[in-house]
Amino acid sequence: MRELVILSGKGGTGKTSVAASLAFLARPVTMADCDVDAPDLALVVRPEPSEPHDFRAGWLAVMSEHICLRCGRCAELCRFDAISWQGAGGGRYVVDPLACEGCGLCERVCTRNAISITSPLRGWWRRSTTELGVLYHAEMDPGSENSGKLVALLRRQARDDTSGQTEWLITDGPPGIGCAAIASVTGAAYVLFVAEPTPSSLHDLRRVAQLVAGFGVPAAVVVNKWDLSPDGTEKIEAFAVAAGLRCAGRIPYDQAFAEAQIAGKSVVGLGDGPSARALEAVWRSIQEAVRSPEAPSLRVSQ
Amino acid sequence: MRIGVASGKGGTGKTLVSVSLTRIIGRSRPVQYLDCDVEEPNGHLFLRPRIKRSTPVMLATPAIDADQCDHCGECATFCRFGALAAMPARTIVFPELCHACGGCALVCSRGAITWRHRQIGRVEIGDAGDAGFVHGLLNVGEPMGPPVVEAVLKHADPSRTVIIDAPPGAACQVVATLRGCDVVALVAEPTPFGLHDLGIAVRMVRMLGIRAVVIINRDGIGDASIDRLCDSVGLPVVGRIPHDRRIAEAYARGAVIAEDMPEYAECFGQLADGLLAEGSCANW
Amino acid sequence: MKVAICALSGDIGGGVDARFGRAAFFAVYDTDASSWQVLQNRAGADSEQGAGIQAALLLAQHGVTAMVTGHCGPKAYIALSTGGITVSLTDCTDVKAALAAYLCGSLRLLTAPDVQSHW
Repeated sequence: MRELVILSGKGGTGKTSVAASLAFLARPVTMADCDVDAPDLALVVRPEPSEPHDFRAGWLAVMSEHICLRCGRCAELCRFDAISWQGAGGGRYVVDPLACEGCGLCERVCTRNAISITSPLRGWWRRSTTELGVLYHAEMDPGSENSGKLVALLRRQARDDTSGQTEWLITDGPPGIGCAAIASVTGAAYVLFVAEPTPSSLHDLRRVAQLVAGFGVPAAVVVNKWDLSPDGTEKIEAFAVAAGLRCAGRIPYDQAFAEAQIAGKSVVGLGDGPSARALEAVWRSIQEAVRSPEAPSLRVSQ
Repeated sequence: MRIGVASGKGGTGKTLVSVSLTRIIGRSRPVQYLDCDVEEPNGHLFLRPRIKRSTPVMLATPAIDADQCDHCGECATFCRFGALAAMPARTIVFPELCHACGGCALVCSRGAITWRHRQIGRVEIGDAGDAGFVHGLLNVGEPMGPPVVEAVLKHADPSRTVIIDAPPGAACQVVATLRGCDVVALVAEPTPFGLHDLGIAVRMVRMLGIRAVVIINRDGIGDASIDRLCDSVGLPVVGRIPHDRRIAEAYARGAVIAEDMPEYAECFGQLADGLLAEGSCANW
Repeated sequence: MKVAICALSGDIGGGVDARFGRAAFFAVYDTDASSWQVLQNRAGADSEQGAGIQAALLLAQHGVTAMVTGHCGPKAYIALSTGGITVSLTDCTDVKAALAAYLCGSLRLLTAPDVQSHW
């Protein structure tokens, strides 16, 4: 199974709509929605109901009120101000789960062992069936961190799932250009960057291009909403060419993206139109790149 | 008054709304814009501020006194973040992994751990016309955003109306940004993706106990599901920015919509009034 | 001396893992005893962060002085060199071939990390 990872840096460029369309064209396919901030792929590939699995990560201090002697040493030493006194005279010390980083200092200094460090529930993940194939998806609870670990879990599960014997695994990549996005590039066969003709999108593309070059993964760029700024589009493509990235096509600014979401379909699945045709061309371009013996060599310096 | 502008994910128009609000509110009262999207601040591309000074954001990290350390490994065993490694002949620190909890110094029986300060980013302060301007920049490759967010928020001027552009998503940097806001405007697109992402943002503000309102961006592009959600959970919709291709084009050029497209000044004016009214409710 | 090779499986006839910190196993060859030993990299492969550091510690504890892998990031490189372990890069796909290449001196010895973090 070959993995195509779709990245975009900043949100709102149409990454998920592109991922859903390519999955439709590649069907039967395995899919992983690693955009754990905004896991929207399921909305357009419509999975059958499935059982959630717990996702636990990081650490959190838990106070046993009945053991605590109210000495206050933990609250005094906590660098994150995560332990505070609540309720005047007859009160107690309470851990703020949003402020606690789980370092374990309070557990260590407590002479009564009233505090324990647990691995808290941070969200869920599922393996679901769709008409296009198997989908791995997840959701983090608000205020949680450690999304990198969830992304790694989803990709590992999806890559090990050979039940469908599909040629492609299509991964809707993590947002941003941080740890989770970086980690998602390891071991991928190909990366597609969904850009839009804005300076911030170009900025993110530069960073992602550097990363994929470091990992030796070949990559292509598609410019979505290209006609909003033909100038901006040319800047993106000029950078792509200079960096040894493939220009996989341009998608026009198109109402079909919103209509497809409302219909619960991918843009290509919705029917024929300028965007659907552009997306089909992108898919042909990626297949050609992956199958050609001479994959483009990358020239971005680290 | 502090007004946060947030959304469940990036790309819904947070910055478009924040910079327009800054200009519109700035016409009638003193205003300040804070950009807390420290991994990728871009408010400056629109407000074009004159930066007057820059202050470093420092984070304490442990340093090992090689003369005192006997490589017993207590500190490395304690550190859950893996920021210390006791190799057989030397103990080393990995500053990027350190959360600065202070535990290693506490458990070291030989007093071999001291603290030094390391720069993880900076805050730039200036003004953009009549508006105060502050943004934070996290150094590339540094994972710890919240200290930079907190450093930006320290510059909030209580004598002004403060507009805070939050990072995308609902992770801990966003939580650090929105604490202490009187009201949070959640910017959402009226599409199924937008609805789902708004749901995540609503859970976050409810968890923080902050008053929230909704601004619909690209109104008319999709369906009425956001209105139905807002109705059912009692979230006021304080404004609607119509779906207009010219807005997207102007934004791509770096324009402030409320200022550079006069036909939308009234739309943003109403939006600002609604938001200010909601923000003062919070103080009652 | 002991040479560790990043391995995909616990079998010395298996493949080389191009990653160090998150390699599943290390195949360790002792040149004095002419014998193999397999170490499971549980701490490294399962850690949330700093996998390379934990893996370096494991090798140092087993007296390894040379490590062969595909790529090595900055934190792992610092931890390995602090532990007195050299890093050589290979593109061999199987463990025994990588060892042979190392022993005949044909591998590139790293003097700095060759990739960024999180690779």
